[in-house]
Amino acid sequence: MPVQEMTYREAILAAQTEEMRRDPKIIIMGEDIGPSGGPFKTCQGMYEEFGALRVRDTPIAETGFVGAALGLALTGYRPIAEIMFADFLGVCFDQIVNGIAKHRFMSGAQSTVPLVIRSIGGGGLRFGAQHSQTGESWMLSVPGLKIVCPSSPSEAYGMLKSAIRDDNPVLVLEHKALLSSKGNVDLGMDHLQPLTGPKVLRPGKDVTIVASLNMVGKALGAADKLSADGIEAEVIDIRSLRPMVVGPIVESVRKTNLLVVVEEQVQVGGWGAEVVSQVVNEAFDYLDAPPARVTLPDYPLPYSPALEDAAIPSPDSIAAAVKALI
Amino acid sequence: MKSPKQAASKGAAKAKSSTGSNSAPLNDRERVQMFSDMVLIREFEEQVHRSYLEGLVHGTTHLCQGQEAVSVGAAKALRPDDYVTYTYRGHGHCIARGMEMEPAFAELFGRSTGVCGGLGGSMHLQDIDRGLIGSFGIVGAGLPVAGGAGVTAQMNGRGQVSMVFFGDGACNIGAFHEALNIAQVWKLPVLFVCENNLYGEFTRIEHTTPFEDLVKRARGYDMDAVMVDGNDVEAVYRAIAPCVAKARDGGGPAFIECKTYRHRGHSRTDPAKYRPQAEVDAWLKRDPLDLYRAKLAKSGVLPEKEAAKIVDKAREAAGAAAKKAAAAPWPDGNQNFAAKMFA
Amino acid sequence: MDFVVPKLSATMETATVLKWLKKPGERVKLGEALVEIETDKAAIEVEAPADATLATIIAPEGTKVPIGGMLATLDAAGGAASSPPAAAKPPKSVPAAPVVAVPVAAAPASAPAPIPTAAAARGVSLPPRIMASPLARRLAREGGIEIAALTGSGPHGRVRKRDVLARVGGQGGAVRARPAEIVPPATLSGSEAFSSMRARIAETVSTSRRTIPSFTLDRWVETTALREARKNLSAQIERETGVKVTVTDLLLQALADTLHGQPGMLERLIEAGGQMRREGGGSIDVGLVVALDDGMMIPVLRDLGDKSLGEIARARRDAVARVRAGRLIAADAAPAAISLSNLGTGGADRFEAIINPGQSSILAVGREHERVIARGGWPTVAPGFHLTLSVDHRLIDGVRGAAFIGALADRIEFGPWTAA
Repeated sequence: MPVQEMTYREAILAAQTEEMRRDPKIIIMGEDIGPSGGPFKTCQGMYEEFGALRVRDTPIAETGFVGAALGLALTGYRPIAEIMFADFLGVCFDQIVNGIAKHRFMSGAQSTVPLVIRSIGGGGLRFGAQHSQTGESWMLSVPGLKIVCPSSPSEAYGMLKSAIRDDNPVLVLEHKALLSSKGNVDLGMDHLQPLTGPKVLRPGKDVTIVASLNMVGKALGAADKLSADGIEAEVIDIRSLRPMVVGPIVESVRKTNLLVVVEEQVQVGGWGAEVVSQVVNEAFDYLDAPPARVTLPDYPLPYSPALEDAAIPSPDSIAAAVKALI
Repeated sequence: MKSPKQAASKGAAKAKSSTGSNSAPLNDRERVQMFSDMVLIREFEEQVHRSYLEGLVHGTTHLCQGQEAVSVGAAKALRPDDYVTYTYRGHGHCIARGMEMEPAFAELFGRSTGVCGGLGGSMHLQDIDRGLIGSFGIVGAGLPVAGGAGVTAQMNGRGQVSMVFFGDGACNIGAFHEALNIAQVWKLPVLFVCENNLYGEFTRIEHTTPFEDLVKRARGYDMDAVMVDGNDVEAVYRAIAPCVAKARDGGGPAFIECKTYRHRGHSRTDPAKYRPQAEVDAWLKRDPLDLYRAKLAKSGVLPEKEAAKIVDKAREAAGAAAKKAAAAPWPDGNQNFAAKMFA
Repeated sequence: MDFVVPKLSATMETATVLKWLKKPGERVKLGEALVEIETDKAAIEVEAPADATLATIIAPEGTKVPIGGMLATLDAAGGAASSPPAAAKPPKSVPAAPVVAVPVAAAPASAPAPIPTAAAARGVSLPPRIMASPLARRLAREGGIEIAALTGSGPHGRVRKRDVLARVGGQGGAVRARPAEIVPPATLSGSEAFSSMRARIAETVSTSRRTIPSFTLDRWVETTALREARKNLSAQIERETGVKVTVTDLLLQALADTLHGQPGMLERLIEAGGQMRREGGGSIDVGLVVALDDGMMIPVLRDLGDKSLGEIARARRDAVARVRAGRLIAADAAPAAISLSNLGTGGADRFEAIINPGQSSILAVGREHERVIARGGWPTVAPGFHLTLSVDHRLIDGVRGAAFIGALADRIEFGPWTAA
């Protein structure tokens, strides 16, 4: 199939639709995803195509339907649960961290839990503190979960397909600010993207910048600014938080000797600390300055546009962090 | 366009109607079997109690002596391909569905031959091949999961049901309400079996719940609800079987409240001094095993001597199984734990 | 309490931390080896000054720390209060982190805390710490560059890669905006960097030649009596101590006896406050040059005056074993006035050894061989070797040197050789 330019939202929809055509065991549940097509239109047309048994509008009951996803997964189905805002992962937190993540292990591997939870999160759209988390750090310390962060339409398509086909619980953290972003997607039934491993999106020799989700674009923007000043940044999309693979990042730091990690998380508890820790361990003698992190400030995200924009890392703030290291 | 309700009715109508012991009256052989099953559970739990005192069972454990009639009466109404979900007080439900004692003991002892390889423990006995899909340590957490299994049963269209056991304490937590609501709205074939033993952990029900009859909760969701003497095994069966049959036919979920009592404390380490002695005594007089044994003897189905033999055999078997389990090796610390997490 | 770098030799100014032998949280006993450091002379284990728990490592492996600089903080049993460093005095037995004539940190105020900034919080100025990025340290190490000599362009004066490369490239530390443009110099094919021991030896001997005005005194001694003594005494010594007596042991005994009678040879020259001072030796301590594969070390054998021949032999054997295993202890780096370098089994008739900085003389012993000598007016053949004594002329003049070597020669040729 040809490579097609589409939005992130369209890529999600394409992946879901193709997979549900391929495997009748896949069903999807979520709030308003039925005839309405989902509040973010990520399920547009699916109810019409697959019907009410496989595309289920749920009551506003995250514990109820995320728990049901576990029950379905334990009994031979492959459910997808769409969580409207990543912040609502807090509502079904118990079902995910105590139930879904631990079930197979506690059963001594009797059970397989092939389910996907897709949440749409992130800040920058003035939704306020309870509707702007990305959810990246909340379940970072839970073994038994896979966590991926698609940063582009291509990743949204390919990683979602892989997640659906994976026989384990995968948390796909999508970003609402990316929904309308465009990119090329290599469409094809079996065109998957791996669920682990960072990718170098832009090579450079002077500094390594690692970012996720919406921060990837900001990092690339920062790289352009830095290039004008003669600093060539290597930008890496971390793509996957669990399992976290840092090999390519270590390789990069061995080359550039400088590391900046950009996260749309607050500093304490952000995944960037894990990256820094592992890089310091494995590339200690290659570091020419302490690794830097660019993060959200340590308070809930404010509503007012001026404050929200100042809180979220931007190409300017990222470039400034890089220059402070050089 | 079909709603899940309409689709469910249509789908389930294609299912074969229930056969076998779900709707037929019980014969004597079945009655004796039910008594034996209750005895087996009792002897298993008593052995767990003794093994705990010997230091073989670690952490804590939650025993169900006194509630055997619920496990056995409910299990009688089920098919092998039905799904069962239960709680940390779940040994009885597992034994009632045929889980073998030795691997069950081994799991409580933390040995590699345990049903979960020693990774779960007392609160997480599971046997997926017997439809025992999960035991939940978080109060109420199993109800939504049972709802999911109900969705599966609905989608499969062959008349399966999903049965979930929980206590009175679970009726106040969010997961309970979400699960009942979804089951009713989607008309899922889920049987919500509430073992009301009057105590949520250490607190008597009147301190936590506005009423003692929990069927009221179910009726709040417009759900069919039945209340039954949970210490009368045949009454339990007769109350549950029609609900199961109806669910198999696409008639939606039901709530069955079984009034019962636990002989011992909330957990092994709880002496249960918070219960008034008169109340305990009254319920002990209504021991489900004693009641049924007397009934079967009186009706000539099972002479007292035979009943005694059944008890002895079960006690011996439990002791032997525990002994074997205690000799089993510990799980390998160098095993591939990642493979235990991820398929 | 503060665990600081002890001054283990007169010429020592800094030490590089080689290896921590304990981890933070681990307990350590008084006298137990806690860290391995490298001085200008040798790699040495420093013992813990008290029964304590290692709290925080302040100088990690690879860092260079000046004398008195902070290595770590220790939680002594019963509290973390710091005590002032021990007053300067020559150590008698195995010292616990001895501090000898060192500009000590000011007495601490009353707020103890086992954190790296404790000293700063107490208003004490820490000895300067070398700030350098891990990358810069590695490049400097690989390039054989003294990182302490570089000026850092990073924050807090941190030495960075560009600073190291600038020095290597001969650009005098100019800071570039684009560090990637500076490339490390191509090495000559076939050449190899100096090992740290080689580099240390190179520096030591260069310093010696540069700073010590020495002259030599030469004497050939007959070894007939020495050979007899060795034959007669070795069985007994070996029985008593399990050690085979060597010529070196006998030489050490002879040296000790001679030094006892010539205590002027135990003086050392010390520079304090820009002035030269002479310090007499309390005990008879002699350094012994021990050869290694590509270098040597000079452990000090202590209190030889109080040791029997067997004890001397054992001390010699243990010191050589420690050197070969790379596990010197602090006592091995004690100050001494004289060292012995015995090349009796080598190919040179005579050689002039280089005085170990901080000492005032060194005795070189050449190849044992037969020659024709005159005895009682008649020629005869006898075995012997050359003694070549190098002395620091600032302390020792010709008369004293000649008297010493003469007395030593007499002691070797005439004894008394005993096991005592």
